[in-house]
Amino acid sequence: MTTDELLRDALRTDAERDPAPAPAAAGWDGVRTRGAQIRRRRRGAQGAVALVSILAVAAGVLALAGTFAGGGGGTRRGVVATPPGGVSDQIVVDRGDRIEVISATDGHVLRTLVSGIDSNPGGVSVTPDGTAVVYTRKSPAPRCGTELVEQPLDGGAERVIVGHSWNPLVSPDGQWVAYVTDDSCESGRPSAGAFLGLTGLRTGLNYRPYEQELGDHPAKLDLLAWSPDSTRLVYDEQRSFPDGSDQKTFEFSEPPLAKGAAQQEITVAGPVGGAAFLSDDRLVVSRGNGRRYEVLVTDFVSGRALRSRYAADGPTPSALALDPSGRRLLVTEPDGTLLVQEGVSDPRPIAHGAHGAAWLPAAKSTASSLTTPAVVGLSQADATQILTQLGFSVTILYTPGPTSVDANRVVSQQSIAPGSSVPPGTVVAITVGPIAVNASP
Amino acid sequence: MMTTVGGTPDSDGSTAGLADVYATHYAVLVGLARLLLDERGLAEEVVQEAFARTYAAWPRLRTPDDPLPYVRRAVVNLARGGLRRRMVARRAVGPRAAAAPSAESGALAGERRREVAAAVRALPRRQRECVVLRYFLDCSTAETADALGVSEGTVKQHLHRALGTLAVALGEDADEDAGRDVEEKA
Repeated sequence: MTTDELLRDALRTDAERDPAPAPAAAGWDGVRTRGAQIRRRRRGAQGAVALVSILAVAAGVLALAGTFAGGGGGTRRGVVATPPGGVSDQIVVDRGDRIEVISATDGHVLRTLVSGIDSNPGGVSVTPDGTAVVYTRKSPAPRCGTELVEQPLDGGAERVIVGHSWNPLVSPDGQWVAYVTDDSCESGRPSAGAFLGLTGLRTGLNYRPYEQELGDHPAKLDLLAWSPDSTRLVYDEQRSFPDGSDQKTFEFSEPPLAKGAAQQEITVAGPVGGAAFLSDDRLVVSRGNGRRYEVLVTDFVSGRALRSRYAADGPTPSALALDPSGRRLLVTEPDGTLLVQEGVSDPRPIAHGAHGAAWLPAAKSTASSLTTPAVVGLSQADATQILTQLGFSVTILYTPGPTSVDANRVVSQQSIAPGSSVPPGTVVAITVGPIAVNASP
Repeated sequence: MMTTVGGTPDSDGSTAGLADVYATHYAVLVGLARLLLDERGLAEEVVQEAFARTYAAWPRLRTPDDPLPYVRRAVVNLARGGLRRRMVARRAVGPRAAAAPSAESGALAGERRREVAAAVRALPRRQRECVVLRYFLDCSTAETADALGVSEGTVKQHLHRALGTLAVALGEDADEDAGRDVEEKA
């Protein structure tokens, strides 16, 4: 018997030690039920994006209404607000020795949040409501590397979230910050691997979802992206195999907040650098060979490449970030060049010397004069102001408390008469039906 | 204003093809998962989940007329997560003691099969996947590469290394015939 034959024989015998039963009809029903459940979850995330799109249209309608209300001429009136956690045109950049806010349009520095730090190995993340930045800085205890610090954007006092950690990533629901850490601080010895850590941003609760070392070498673990629903976390691990090969793979946990929960691994072919989640279980990833890289949209279930966003010369970027609309992509190249790609356009460099970057969501809804249609999401006061200014009915979706724009969380949908006040709570969306387009103030 | 996005797979297109694959390939896919995981219960869970995820992804499947490669790839990907958990569990409890051979399984052929299967289980993950896909599922190099999301050259490289490792582990010189299929099926 040849080795090939022996292998076939051995594997088939091994697999058939107790043969798998033929699938029962109930098994297929289970597939359908579970499949439908997965789709519902995806639909929830897609719904959020769809709602944002609707709101963008509504903003355009409001712009038109504002023009009507202004009686024409060059002055446009109306109220446009960016929703908490919605799209803004600002980016937070880790420069290694300072944290800055820059314009996403031309990269000019708007303000410096923190200076005089050593952020290496770095990483910066922003809370989804856009009120605070979480960054890495060198710890006072030399052995303990870096610590994570939360800095409010309004200039409030900083606070240390957790010691000896780096690569922070705040969850989209704002409940958790995930990071990389290891045991070297506690043990006083170099650590053989790295751990994924989670800390509740408000509760301060720390824990490691997996009591195992993930990287084969310290710092060989990068957190890449949270899923939009905050239930999954993609990370990138480098593992060394006995045959001497190194492999970098994506893994994600589902959900990461439950100890011992299912953990799955997705491998994307090729040396992969960074990743960012789209809303429907697709991932935008970068991969390359050290000389040229490509940014691709991939299917998260199979890891299969679906389409290319762009390709460029140079080492593979390890940091990608999508804005809440999923349209604008922020790419940090290894040499510190910061690129912004809008849709399928060519990416344009906007800054250099970046160690990491994140989109800065709008911190609060702010009324302003309308220049371009924008996503609308309003506070109670703003919504009331609109109802006062505009002379027609609008539909308001609101929730009882601060939340993100998420179709699944809207608890009430009402038409509210002009001039009336908005019920207490944070209004997350305002839509104007076709009647508004033709309405006269 | 609520917006409905998408629909059930059945409303987007019939999943009868997937149901057929489920009926005809379930057992062999459980066998594949079992060889990757070495645990029957987990293997069945993995295959069930792989079908569920394929069902959920049905409207955007590029080859709905041939969903098997997608399911196969999902099984491999899901099995990797299961394997990780098992490795952690093994690290915690230490290596398992070998089961005492029964009188029947003491036969030379059975013993040899067990040695080979154990040697395959000891291979690095990627090599093990290549060997199982090639020799258990009889996948071609292209099919193996597709299931693993790697190039055909990488598959050949892993198979070559795996067969060399197996030959050493089994106390043999590399069989001249070993890996012949690698060339023949490519």
